[in-house]
Amino acid sequence: MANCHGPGQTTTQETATSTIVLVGAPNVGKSLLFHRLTGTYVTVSNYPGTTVEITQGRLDLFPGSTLALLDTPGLRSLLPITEEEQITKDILVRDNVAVIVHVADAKDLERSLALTLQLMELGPPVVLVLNMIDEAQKAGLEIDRRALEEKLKIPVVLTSALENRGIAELREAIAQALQNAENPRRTRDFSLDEIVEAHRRTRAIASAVLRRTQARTLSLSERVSQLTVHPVMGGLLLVLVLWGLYEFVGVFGAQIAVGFLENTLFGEYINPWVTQLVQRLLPWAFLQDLLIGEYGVITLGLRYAIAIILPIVTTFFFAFALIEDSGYLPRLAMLIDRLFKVIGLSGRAVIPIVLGFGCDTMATLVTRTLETRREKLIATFLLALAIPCSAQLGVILGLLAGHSLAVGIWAGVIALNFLVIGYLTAKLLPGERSLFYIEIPPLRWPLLSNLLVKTYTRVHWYLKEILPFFLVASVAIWLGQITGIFGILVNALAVIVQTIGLPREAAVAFLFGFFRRDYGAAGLYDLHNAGALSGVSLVVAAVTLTLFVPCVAQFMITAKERGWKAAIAMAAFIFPYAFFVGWVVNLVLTTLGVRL
Amino acid sequence: MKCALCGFEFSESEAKRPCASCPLGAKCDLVCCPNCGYQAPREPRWLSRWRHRHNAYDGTLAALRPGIETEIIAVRPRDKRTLHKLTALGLLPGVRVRLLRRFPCYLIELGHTQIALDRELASAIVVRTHTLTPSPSPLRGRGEKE
Ligand SMILES: Nc1nc2c(ncn2[C@@H]2O[C@H](COP(=O)(O)OP(=O)(O)O)[C@@H](O)[C@H]2O)c(=O)[nH]1
Ligand SMILES: [Zn+2]
Repeated sequence: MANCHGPGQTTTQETATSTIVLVGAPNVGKSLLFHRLTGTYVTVSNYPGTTVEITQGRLDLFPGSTLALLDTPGLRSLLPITEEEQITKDILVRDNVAVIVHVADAKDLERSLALTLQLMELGPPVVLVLNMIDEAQKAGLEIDRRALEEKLKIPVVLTSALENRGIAELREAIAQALQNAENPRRTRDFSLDEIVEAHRRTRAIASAVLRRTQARTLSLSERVSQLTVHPVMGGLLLVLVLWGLYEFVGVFGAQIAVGFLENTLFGEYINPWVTQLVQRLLPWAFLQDLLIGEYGVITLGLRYAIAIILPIVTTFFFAFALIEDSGYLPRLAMLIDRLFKVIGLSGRAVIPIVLGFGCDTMATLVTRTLETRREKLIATFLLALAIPCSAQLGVILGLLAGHSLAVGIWAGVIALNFLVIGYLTAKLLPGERSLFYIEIPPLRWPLLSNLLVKTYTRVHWYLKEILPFFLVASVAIWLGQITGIFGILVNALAVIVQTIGLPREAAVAFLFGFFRRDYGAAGLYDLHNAGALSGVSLVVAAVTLTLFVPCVAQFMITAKERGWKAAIAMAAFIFPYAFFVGWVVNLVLTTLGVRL
Repeated sequence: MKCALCGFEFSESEAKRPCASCPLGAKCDLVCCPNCGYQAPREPRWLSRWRHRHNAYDGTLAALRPGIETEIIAVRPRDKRTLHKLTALGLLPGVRVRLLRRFPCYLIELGHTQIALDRELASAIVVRTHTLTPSPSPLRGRGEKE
């Protein structure tokens, strides 16, 4: 994820210190190796496009050495295609690069060596690391390290970052390479023919140093992997995954955990205690209102953040880390590519779309990894329109949980909107059709420690981002109430809200929705608890609020990534459209006499 | 199929492009070689099926039966950028790949890695199950002059 790496991470500047650069294809374990070498934690995950930012750490090889270690975005050849690859290439030709460490997947030696050959032409000494040696051994591959060193004339180290093997040898090899004479730097462009030639040479080298000790058999994970990409079984599995996600986030997170924090922690302990305290210390009613009133900083802002949003995003981020680290996302991309082509996207877009269920703002940033401008626009638009973020989703599922028919109608309407609007947008927007290709990494058991660190890092980032926001929103509403602006806005919205069959009070939730999607949904939650919403209007409110404008943060990022014109056009469409759909749903449900 | 004049390998779908300007359009039964423009009659369905079944197959990956291991002989996507992408993934002439499935996506295995491709990219990869002679310059973005 682009912006939620953990603490302890600095972006690179042009520094004068000697740098060791880790390069290699995506998903070969660079980040984990980086972590093993420096001890600094960086998000480690399983899909291409993860390491968007350059991560820098300190490498202590011997006492007194001040070396910087850089982790770079994935690079497959020195003929850069993506923006990230270009960045990596630029770093490689900097003057302060002392050693280039090429990290490759040991199972994939043949394909990786071509890059080694290209890197060797740049000047600085190159160390080749064949990582994931544990997996290679399990697959029955034997690599003659010495023979490879002799053929390439550079040090070769076998490592398993996962099992912490070969790290000492790698340090040793880097230290040795540092002693090597300063080679002249050569900035050079490679032509396609040269790269094809490099591949031809590597095939010969690879066949000379590789030995297969056992016939290839299908491991359990490979068998499961085949199921995940089967059109029928894969579909069933997807349903199973979604159901698991719902049970964990929607039921456990949004109902059990929220219920406990809301009713027990806040309802029985914090709120009464704080109310008493404030009433004793602050005799002025308007100040009391600010802290403990209906929209008070503590009774509303803090309660929304801690009791409603926190459990939901924590469970979601944990589930997402699990899906991400197991390698399921590329498989999902492959399953869904054909369907996505209809709405002008490629399978690759599942990554931002699924991420959108976590946080639409974050997902909007990740649309950068898509190929064409057209695809980026469509994905950004659909994220703004039809993808509820985890907090909103959790609250909405929590609201509708009792009635499975209501959940069905809500999900159906949203999915239909996603497809129909996507299809129409794809028809209207000119531009190239996007191509789809993705590497399918092996299915892996995620490391629990990694999952926990990742969840913590993201929740930490999320809270840091929203907590001040919720508090400021509470203050803004308080100010609005005192000055009367709040009432005017609510009244204006109330007119619209009532035409789609909702009670006036729902206007408040919609007003909150402008600030944040989850804030609005949480407002709905309160309304429901007060018994103000009937079955049908609950569905109408949920549908409208889901489609309703993106939150301020998402809007800002959309403007930043796609330009103001696009962002304003999207908002101008979505605002009336959401209410229109709500109106239609209300009309249809009441005409049909549906009881929920 | 293979051009009878210049020996260029191509699939029927790419041969359609030069025909777009022809007044006969789709009704014509002749296929133009995209390399030299030489015309030849379309290969009858039964014949290509028979050849396919007996593994004497060359054509694009998109038309291949799953489970077969083949050798890539040419990569000819719609533009140079795509060509770079495919080569970076290791899809190059001379590489052996196995087609694992065609639906919901083309899935190929190459060494220990699996790569999913959509139909358009799969049709850009020309493969051969029997290695005959290497074709002259197999690597070239379509529409580019040599
Ligand atoms: N079995 C095994 N898995 C590894 C090894 N190194 C990394 N991984 C896993 O491979 C996945 C991708 O690693 P990552 O560091 O994100 O790769 P990067 O994209 O190159 O930075 C993660 O799930 C790691 O846990 C290794 O040596 N052996
Ligand atoms: Zn010809």
